[in-house]
Parts: sequence; structure tokens; C-alpha cells
Amino acid sequence: MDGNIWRISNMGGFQSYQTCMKLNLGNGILISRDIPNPVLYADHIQFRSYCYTFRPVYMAAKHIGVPATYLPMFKKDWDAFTSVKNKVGRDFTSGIFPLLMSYSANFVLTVFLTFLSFLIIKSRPYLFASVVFKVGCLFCTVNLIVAMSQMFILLRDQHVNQGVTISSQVIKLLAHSATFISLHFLSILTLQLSQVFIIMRTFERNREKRIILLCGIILTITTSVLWVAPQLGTVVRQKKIDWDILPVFVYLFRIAIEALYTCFILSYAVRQRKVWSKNFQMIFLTFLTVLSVLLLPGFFLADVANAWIAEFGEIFTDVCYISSTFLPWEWLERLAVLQRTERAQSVLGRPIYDNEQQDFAFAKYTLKVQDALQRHNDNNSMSQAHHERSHDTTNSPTTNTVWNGSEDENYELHDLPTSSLSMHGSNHVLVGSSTGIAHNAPADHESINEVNFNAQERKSDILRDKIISTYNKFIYFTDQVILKKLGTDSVNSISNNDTSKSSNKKRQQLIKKRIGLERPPETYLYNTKDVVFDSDGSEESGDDSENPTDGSIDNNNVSNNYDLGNNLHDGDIYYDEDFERDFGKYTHPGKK
Amino acid sequence: MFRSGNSIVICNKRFRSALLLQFLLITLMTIIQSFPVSSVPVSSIRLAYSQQFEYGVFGWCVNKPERHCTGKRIGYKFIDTRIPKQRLLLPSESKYSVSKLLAMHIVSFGLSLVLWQMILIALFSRLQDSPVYLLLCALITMTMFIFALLSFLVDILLFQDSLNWPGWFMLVVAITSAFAGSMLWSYRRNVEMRNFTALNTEINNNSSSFNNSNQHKFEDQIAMYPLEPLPVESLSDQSTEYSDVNTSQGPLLEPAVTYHGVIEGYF
Repeated sequence: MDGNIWRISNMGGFQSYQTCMKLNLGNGILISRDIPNPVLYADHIQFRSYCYTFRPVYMAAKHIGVPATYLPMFKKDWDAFTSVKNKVGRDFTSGIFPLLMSYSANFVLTVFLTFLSFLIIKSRPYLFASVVFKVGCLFCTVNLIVAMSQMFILLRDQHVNQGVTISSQVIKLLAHSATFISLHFLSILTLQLSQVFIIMRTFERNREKRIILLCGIILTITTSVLWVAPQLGTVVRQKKIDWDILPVFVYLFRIAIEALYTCFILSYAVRQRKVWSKNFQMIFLTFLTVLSVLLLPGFFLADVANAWIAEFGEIFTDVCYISSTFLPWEWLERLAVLQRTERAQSVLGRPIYDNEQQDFAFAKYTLKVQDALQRHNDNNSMSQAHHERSHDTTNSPTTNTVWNGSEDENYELHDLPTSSLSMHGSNHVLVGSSTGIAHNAPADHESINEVNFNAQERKSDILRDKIISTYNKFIYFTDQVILKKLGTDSVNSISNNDTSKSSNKKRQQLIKKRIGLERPPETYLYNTKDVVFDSDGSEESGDDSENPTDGSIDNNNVSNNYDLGNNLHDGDIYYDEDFERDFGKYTHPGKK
Repeated sequence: MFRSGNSIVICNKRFRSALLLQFLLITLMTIIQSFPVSSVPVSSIRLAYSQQFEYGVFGWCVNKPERHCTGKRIGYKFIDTRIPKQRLLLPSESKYSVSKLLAMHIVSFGLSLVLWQMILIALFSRLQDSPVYLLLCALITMTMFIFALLSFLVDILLFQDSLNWPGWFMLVVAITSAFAGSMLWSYRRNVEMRNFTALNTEINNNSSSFNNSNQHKFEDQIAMYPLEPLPVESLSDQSTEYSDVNTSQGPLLEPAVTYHGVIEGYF
């Protein structure tokens, strides 16, 4: 808009118009309502036509029934003005009528799309993203309503007081109004953010979503702040600051960012071509989506090539942003439904990436703790343990087989997900090795349980801890808070699209049914026991510990498998509280 | 997918060829981007040409009536001391200060050089297996896409239809870098998955055959921790209701405590 003046350098040969100077008309009769007497005879009348920056302006007021005509001088100037080419504001397209037309079209489309977004877009499963998008739409609508009303007030004033309508005044009004600029800034910021969320949805791996979120937020904030800085600077200081190339740079940067978004959506459309090409409606929607996404860079490119479209493009920015967010959103929703029906035929119902499982990280952590404990143990009672072990091996021959017959103290547990741990069984996990891997790690002489109160921490350590904890917090935030509400597709999201009270009750009942709370309070406690025959020999009678070599470990697991009833915490209980406490205390997690 | 050591080696070759293609693409892009950077005052390549003016990134030249060129600097001034009695005219109506944005060409060329070196390093080192490094490459490719597009837009803004082929090739560079970026991204995904599968395969192999010959390959990828029995000291002292089995022996993952005494005491 007004900021686009940067693209015009030379205002052309300046032509002076006589009617914009003072004209001596001599003596005559003046007829007007605004002078003390409606009809007045005056000497030395001086006339100056209404001009804008020393150029005559188009008269939009009606003057039917007045027999007067324009002065011949004015007509001559008007002819001269219309014959000059390459002037700002000379073109019909930059006049008031195309401006009004495009503004109202923009207004209608924006309001329509806002309504649609509130009606169609579901708040689940992407709660946060949908809220951001709806807020962005609301900002746009409010902004346009305010702008339209301001514009019409201005036009009325112009019509009543000056008898002319000047389009550049309208543009100036909007460019210098702080409300318009800040609302525009907010709406574009939120809409760009929801575009980032849309891109996140096209990636399935959590790690990639995190990267996209980070990069997207950085880029969005950069463009928005760079855009708003010179604009607000102009408003605050009430004069044009020579920001020189910053507005141009931001203008082009926005094109580049939008092109990037277009690339992401197009590449996703190409990747998913098998899904959407199956039915006609989806093909049509895909076509519309691609069109809407291409609209913004297309407008921008047309701007750059031709000056007058520039203003056009800026006027349509809002509606372009909304449509290029809304349509891909709806398209992705429908695509997700199609994908779900396809994936429902597989076992898991959704793609699962081995290297992204939470258990993997947890297993790593457990092993590290175990490592620390072990080292502590090593340092304190190495000799004692060794002594006991040699003593034990002589006493019971079965323990030797557990340890793969190795006399070495070092046993290794490979870093691998717990899921595969359970799959392979315990004897696969334990691998004896002659290499002392334990010595690779730096030996710490402190136990993890020990706290050194007097020892002062180094500043670098504190700093590192802080950095690590902020990083962990960020990761946690992205994983737990944002990813779950923004990007992660869940299988049962179809069923949760209603948030009304009745459906909530239904859900509660469903969960109660699943847990078993609706049944009468009864507790069943099962105890499965090993049956030990006399013929098994006396050596095992006193020792019912695990023995993986002959598979009795599995028996043991089964034998300790106490299956508690469903509703232990509900109503009457048939067991002692002490038992519950003890049981809770000593239940091994591996035995559930 | 990757069950044995052999198939991993085969896949390595295929992956390597993908990286090689990537390298070729980026080399091509770097060469293309070097044309606008070395335009007019530096060499005789014209970024744009209209009437008697030749435009380049670092300056402009007049070839009528005599050929004169400006010094090398970013941004045009409409009067130059080396060119007497000539005022610069731009093919568009843009301000002269917009020409400072031609520096985008240099930025994007610099980025492509950095990327070229990074891919070169990845080709001949173990960094090609590092997902973080490849992610960095992909992010730089994205930045390069933005800047290549920006430099094309600046060209169009300044010179419009009198833009010469080096300017139009910037659009080609932008599109190619988008392709290269997506290729790099999927390559990164594959590497991540392949590392994980290799790790798993190695664990499986290790558990079945004790001393695997491939073990040294993956030694640094597998974090190994010794498994030492933990003493359960306090439990045995407090009560006698349960039997404490194997307190100082036995692996951690095996149950160290059984509950026979507890349960039988209650029922």
C-alpha cells in the first residue's frame, strides 16, 4: 500500500497545472451557500481548483441541475492530466472504484471463510492449532470491519466537505492507523503460525515435527517483526522514516516464505497422490488447495512485475492467507480420514517408528542408573563380592549356568528398547564378554545416593545443568503439550470430535465399563502356585529362585503372577490394608 | 529389512550413490550461482541488459558511446565518477537503493559453497551416517532456497523483462534446491532408520553368536553397561515373611524377591 511507494523512483517530468495555482478571474457574481450571501458580486475573484499534490482530482460529487460547467481552463488542465502516462494514481485501477470493489470483495470472502472455519474446523485432535487459526481468522475479520468503517467515514467526509473522493487518502488512512497495522500484524502472525502447524501435520515423526515447529516459529516471528517495525515506526514518529531497503526486503522475504509453504504442501500432495486420487471429491479439493496455496506467491510475483497489482495484492493478503490456511486444513482432515481407513487394516492402526519409542530413552536411562550403582558397588565391595561369588559357585552349581559359564565379573546389557528386551527373553539379553567395557566409562567415586553438601559446584557445571534442563523442558513441552495437541494423529480421534456434555457422560460410562467400575464391588485374588513333586529332587526344594537355563524362570514368573480383581479401590475390600501396603511395596514391575 | 550384515553393506552403496547425486546437484547449483556473482564489472557476463546499460551485482557499465564500468561495490549510485556525463537508468521504476538487495546473490552463493563443502565432507567421512549433520545440511538447503528465490525476486523487481539468463537461472536454482532439500531430508530419515536397524541386527547377532566379527563396527554405537548384581540389604533385615533369594547374585532384571511367604501368611 503506502509502503509500496519504494518501487516508484522518478515521479516523471513535473507538469504544473494552472488550475492548481491561483487564477485571476476578474469581477463577477459568486453563487454559493457557504458565503454570507448566497449571491454576491465581487471584484478580483481568485479561483483555485481542488488539487492533490498539485494535480487536479476527479470530481465524484453529483451536480445535476446546475447549469454551470467547468471553466475552460480546468477542462484544458484535465485533458492534459489524463494524457500524461506513467503516473501514480492516473490509472483507473488505482482509482477509488477498483479499491472499493476489491476491499468489499476481500471483506465478504474473509467473513465467509471465518464463518466456515468456525463451523467446519473441529477443535480435536489439534486443539491448539485450531484455536490459533480461528483467532487469526477473527483478527482478520475484526480488522477488515474496522478498516471498512473507517474508510466509509472518510469517504463520507470527503463527499460532504470536499466533493471529491481520493483513493490515495484511503490508503494513507489505513497505512497510518495503528489499529490497522497492529491487527494486521497479529492476524498474519497467527495465520502464519497455523501454517507452520499445518506443515507439522504433514510430517509423521515426532523429531521432525519438533524441528519444523522450531524453524517455523523462528521464521514467522522474524518476518512479522521485520514487517511491523518500519510500519509502526512511521506511525509513532508521524513522518516517513527512510528505512530504505528494509520494506523491500521484508516484502520479498514474505514471498519467499510463502513459496516455501507452497513447496511443502505441493510435495505432500505429490507424496499422497495415491490417497487423494481415488475419489472425485478429493481430486477437486486437492485442485482447490493447490490453487489457493499458489495464489499468494502468484499474486506476489505479479506484484513485482506490475506496479498496480501490488496494491491489489496487498489488499487481498488477508483473504489469501486465510484461504491458503483453511483449504489445506480441510484437505488434510479429509486425507487423514482416508489414511485412517487404510491404516485401520494394519495391525497397529498407525505408523510406528522404532527409533522414536519412549521406551528406548527410558531403557537408556535405567541402564545409566544401573551403571552408576554398579560402579559404586565396585569401588566399595569389590573384594567382598568376589569372595562371596567364589563361595557361592562352589556351593550351588546352578548359578554357574546362569552366567554362561564365564568367570569374569563383567556382564553387559546392550542398549536396546525394552520392547525387544521382553521379546528376546532374559537369557538373550545377558551377554558375557571378555572385554572390560566398564572401564571405558569415567569412574565416579560418588554414589548417586550421596549428597555432598559442602562441595561447591563449579559455575560451568551450573550453567551446563541449566542449559540441559531448559533443553529438556523445551523437549518436554514440544512432546507433551504441543505435539499432542498440534500434530500427532491419533487413531481414535474420529470418536472424540464431540465435546458436548452427553458425549462426555457416555465416555465416562465407557471408561467405567472398561475399568470394571460398574460391576458390584467384588474382589478376586488369584494365586497360582507351582506344584512341586517329590520326584523333582531335594536340591530345588529350598531354592525356588530363577533358573533360566531350564526354563524355570518362566514358571517362576507365572507362579508369582497374582491377578488382582478389577476394583480393589472401590467399595468393600476383602483383604487387609496391611496386605495392600505390603503388596504395593514389594510388587515387582516386571510381574504385572 | 536389513537382516544380515551383507544387506547392510549393499544398502550402504545405494545410499552413498544417493549422496553422490546430491553432491552433483549442489555442484551444479554452485556453478550456476557463480555466474550472477561474477557479472559485469568483474567479467563480461551481463545480469541484465537494457538500452546502453549493462547491469551486474557489483556495479553497472555503459557501452555507448564508449565502454565504461563502475567500481565494485554493493548498490548502484545513479552517477559514477568513472562514467562521465551518464545518469543510470533502471529498466523498472524502482528506487536505486533497492539495488543493494542484489547482495542476496552473494549470500546465496556463499550458502551453496558452504553446503557443497559439507556434502563433500559427508561423502568421505563417517558424518554421512550422522542424522544431526544431515539435518544441518537440510536446514542450510532450506535457507539457500529462500535466498535463491529472494535474489531472483530482486532481479525481477529491478530489471523486469530485460533480465538476462543468469537471472532466470536463479529460479532454476531455487527449484533445484527445493528438490535437493527434500532428497536430503528423506536420506536423513533413511540413515536414522538404518542406524537403528543396524543396531538391532547387531544385538540379535550378538545374542545368537557370541563373538561376532562385526562387533567392532558397532562398538561405539552401542552404549554398553556392565550388569552387576545389586545387593538387597535392607529388606532381609526387616522381616522374615518373605524369602530373600540370591541377594548378591543374579542379574538385576530377574526377580530378586518372591512373595510366597507373604501370600501364604494371609491365606
